[in-house]
Amino acid sequence: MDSGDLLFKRPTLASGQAKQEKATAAAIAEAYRLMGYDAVGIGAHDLTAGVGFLKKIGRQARLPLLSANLMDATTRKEVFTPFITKKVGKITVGIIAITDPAALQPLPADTVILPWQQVLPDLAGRLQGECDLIILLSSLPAEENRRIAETMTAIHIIFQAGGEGANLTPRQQGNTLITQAGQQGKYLGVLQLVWRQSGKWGIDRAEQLLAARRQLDQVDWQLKRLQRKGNPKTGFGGNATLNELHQRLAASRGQLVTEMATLAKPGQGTDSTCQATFTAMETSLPEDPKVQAVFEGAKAEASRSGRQKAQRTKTGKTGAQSPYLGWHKCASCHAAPTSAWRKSRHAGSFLSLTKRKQQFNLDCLPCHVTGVTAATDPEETIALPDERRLVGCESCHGPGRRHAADPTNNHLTAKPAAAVCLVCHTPDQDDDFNYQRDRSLVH
Amino acid sequence: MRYALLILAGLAILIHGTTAQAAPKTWSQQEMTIYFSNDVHGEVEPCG
Repeated sequence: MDSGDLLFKRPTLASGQAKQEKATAAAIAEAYRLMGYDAVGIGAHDLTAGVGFLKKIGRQARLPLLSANLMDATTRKEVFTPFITKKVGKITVGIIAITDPAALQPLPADTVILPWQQVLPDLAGRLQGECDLIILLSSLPAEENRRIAETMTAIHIIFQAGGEGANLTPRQQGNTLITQAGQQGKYLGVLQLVWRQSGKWGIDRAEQLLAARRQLDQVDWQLKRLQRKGNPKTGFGGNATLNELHQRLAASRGQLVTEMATLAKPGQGTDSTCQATFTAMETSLPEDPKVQAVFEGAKAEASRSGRQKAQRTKTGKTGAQSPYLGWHKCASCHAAPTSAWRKSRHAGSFLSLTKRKQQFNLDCLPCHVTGVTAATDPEETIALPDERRLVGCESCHGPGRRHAADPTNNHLTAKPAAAVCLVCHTPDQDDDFNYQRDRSLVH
Repeated sequence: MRYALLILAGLAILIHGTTAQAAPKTWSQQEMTIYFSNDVHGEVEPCG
């Protein structure tokens, strides 16, 4: 299962990249089919190319795309399937999906996303009769998911998208488990359940037992203190107040002991249990040949479209007036640092793209070349001169044209701040980056 | 007579249906494994 936000990087298509982004989205949908997904919730990042496109690739990939609150603005009917039911052994599992209304602005034409409060109680109520276990795929914020768990006992598990980013070990809120796998598909969550007829989770039993033990310790301490003031057997010598307090504490102790005895017996087997693990999708894991073929196709499509752009821009938009000059010019005065830099990974950054056939991928290029951001004209990005097809001096120290023309009066940043590195060395792309340690690797 | 039979048949179906609904669940526990992923965000594979 997946709670959504899987097909696109952004909620709107990037200028000049529509074809490439759609091809990637279609490849992801196809890969999900090959991997045998039973249900996929729809998030804002799935509607980037519109409802029509999502429906089309869902149909092509026979992917069960779900949303119970994405409605046709006129008919007020669901645009996608709101839920599915699935037989697992002897039980029926209901799977509902909710799309986050706040994450999607503007909304796709002719659609409206209703708040979960308007659809979920009714739908879960209906499913309760026919399903033994109800799962919600939610792209809502974590806070909203907690609210759902608190108010809707019919929902047994919430798989959330986004939210806290990292792997989330199942937390019990009311009688609902909330969990999520780490973002960007870097982890696969595996939830092993023993679901029992009571429909109740028992994973907070240990915490309840601990809380009861703490209370018992406190009551015992109070009783001991009280007994120092007199003998309870003689009614504290006729002191009614102390006698009444003692009776109350003794009753409370009795209740706690009974409660602890019940909690200590999970062997009665009425509570459902679960165990979650998160498997890192290491690059060392073997590729599935069919999925790999789909992605190779998507990359080839991206390369084709990029190459066409590059050919159209052969004359080069990176004309003489670009503020960037390329590393050759720097080397003429700064020979030593340039020589050290040439041995660094920055100097081979474009090569690492070509090795993976990603040299025309506009999402990758800004961090593998010099003087380009996501806002740069895609045609310029694709058709950079060779001396800027690497992370050169100017990537960190700034554009060099003015400095080269008048070095005395136009200084560049001698020691770039961490913020400059962090534009590309993000936790998503480089979770081991350490500014103090790694800057010495450049020169 | 024909109508009486029909009514009897109808009643029998009704009783069967009610019994079926009220029947206790035929399972006591079910083990299962659910695999889940999150926020792939259009990532096919790392850039390089």
